[in-house]
Amino acid sequence: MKSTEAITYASIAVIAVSLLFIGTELTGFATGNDTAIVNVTITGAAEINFTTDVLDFGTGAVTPGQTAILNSEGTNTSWSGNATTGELILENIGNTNLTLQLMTDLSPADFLGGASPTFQAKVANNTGNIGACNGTNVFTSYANINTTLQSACGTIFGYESASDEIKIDFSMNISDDAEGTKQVTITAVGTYGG
Amino acid sequence: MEDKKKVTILVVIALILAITAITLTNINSEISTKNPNQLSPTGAVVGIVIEPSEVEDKLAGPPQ
Repeated sequence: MKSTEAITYASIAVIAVSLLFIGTELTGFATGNDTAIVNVTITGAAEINFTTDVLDFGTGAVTPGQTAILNSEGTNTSWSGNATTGELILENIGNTNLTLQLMTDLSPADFLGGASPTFQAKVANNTGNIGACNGTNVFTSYANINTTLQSACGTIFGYESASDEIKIDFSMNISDDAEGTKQVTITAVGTYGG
Repeated sequence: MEDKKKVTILVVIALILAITAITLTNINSEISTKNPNQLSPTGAVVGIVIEPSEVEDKLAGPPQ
């Protein structure tokens, strides 16, 4: 076999393999009448939103020699400031059931400072939203929340308008050596389809 | 001479298609490390202002 022929065959083989990888398809001109079907597909839209995205515990001081215990349900032990009642509200605003995880951007020490601080969250269905949050919930009662994602609604965070809101309360212990303006970000991550 | 010209064209076409196929294959083979079903995180803020505690005056005696 001449070298020219060998190169030719090799080139044809490369072209064939390349077309196989790139993908080839046959096309043609359609003739005649036919029926058709019109389909409408409603695409799933998954999204969550904090409808209440700020929770302010106000200003106060810790009673000297004590550890203040505050939560967003009105408890303000050993704290000179007002009691706080409120919570963060998270809504599933899409049309798909989700699972939900929560985390903070700071540890309790970085958020509050002082000796042995704690920062905890509690997740529950918002008022009137029975069944919004189902499955594994680390935060059924006040539990430590930290910089690692933890499951809040492990099976379903529902989207139906009657049951698509959860409320998140917070509790913290602050020692008398902590001071300053403190802020922590609560991050919610939703996952759909499995 | 004519044959050599045809073979050269064939080789060039083969090379172009091979490079295209390799490039497309590499693009499609990138493996995402992110869960495609995970939504972008959404955030909220909790804040508090802690004033300094009053200093206990343990030297002060009971009121006279």
